[in-house]
Amino acid sequence: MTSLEIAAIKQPGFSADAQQGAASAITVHLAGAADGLAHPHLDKYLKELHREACRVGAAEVNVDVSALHFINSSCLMLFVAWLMCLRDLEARKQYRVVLAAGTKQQRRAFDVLANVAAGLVVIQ
Amino acid sequence: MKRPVINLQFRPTMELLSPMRDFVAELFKSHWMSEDVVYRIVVTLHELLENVMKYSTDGVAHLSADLAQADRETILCLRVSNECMPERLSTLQGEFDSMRKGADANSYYTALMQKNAYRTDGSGLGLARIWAEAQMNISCEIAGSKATIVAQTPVEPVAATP
Repeated sequence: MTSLEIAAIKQPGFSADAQQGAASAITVHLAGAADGLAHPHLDKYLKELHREACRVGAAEVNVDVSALHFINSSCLMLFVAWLMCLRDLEARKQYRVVLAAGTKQQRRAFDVLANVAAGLVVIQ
Repeated sequence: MKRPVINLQFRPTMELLSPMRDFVAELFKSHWMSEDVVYRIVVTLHELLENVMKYSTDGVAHLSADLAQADRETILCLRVSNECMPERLSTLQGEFDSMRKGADANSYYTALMQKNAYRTDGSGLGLARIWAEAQMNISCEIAGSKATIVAQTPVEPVAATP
């Protein structure tokens, strides 16, 4: 796998950082509040993440949302848009998205994505 | 039980929503509610106040929260009102009609997410999220140009009122 090229986000109330791990996996850590202030940054970030995951041939993208204490519906929709792009890829180019929630509330917020993109996303 | 009341009139902004979430969370957490109920309240108020920012004609939100006893249950009632353009009132009415026709909150929310996936003017998901994820009974009252969204849920206070 070639190296990952994606700039981290470090805003006062929101951050995102990605690392390339072993076995064709990318791990992303999101922290803070994904609200209206974070929306344009997260929008750009998830689009870049998808491009990079495709470019490096990732088999899996793990998104750790355990430090994300709030997400609004507009930011949730950015995940939906990402998953729709993933769904539209040829099957051999698709990768798996694993969302790691830390709390019952985070799990509840993201659970719906498993219904939206069945088979492509796992909520842990 | 002493009744917690929020009765605020203010102009929500993106920058104010974060401290607003913190204020609401601290208020309900420290006095009466479980972490889960507090989260549901925060999600509800955030989504409603974002709608005020998008659709209000004057940017002003009137927010109230109250507890009432009904049939041995304690019901939390959140109300957010604002002045709207006529077209927004009609859209709002349409959204509530669609929700009423929906089989259940989670199916409706999932279907709306798929339908709105490529929408560029906001998610259009806020009210459905309040119904499904925040598990609120949600309704709309329209009087003239004022829309009031009412979100209610039974709650169980976890400790006695201080």
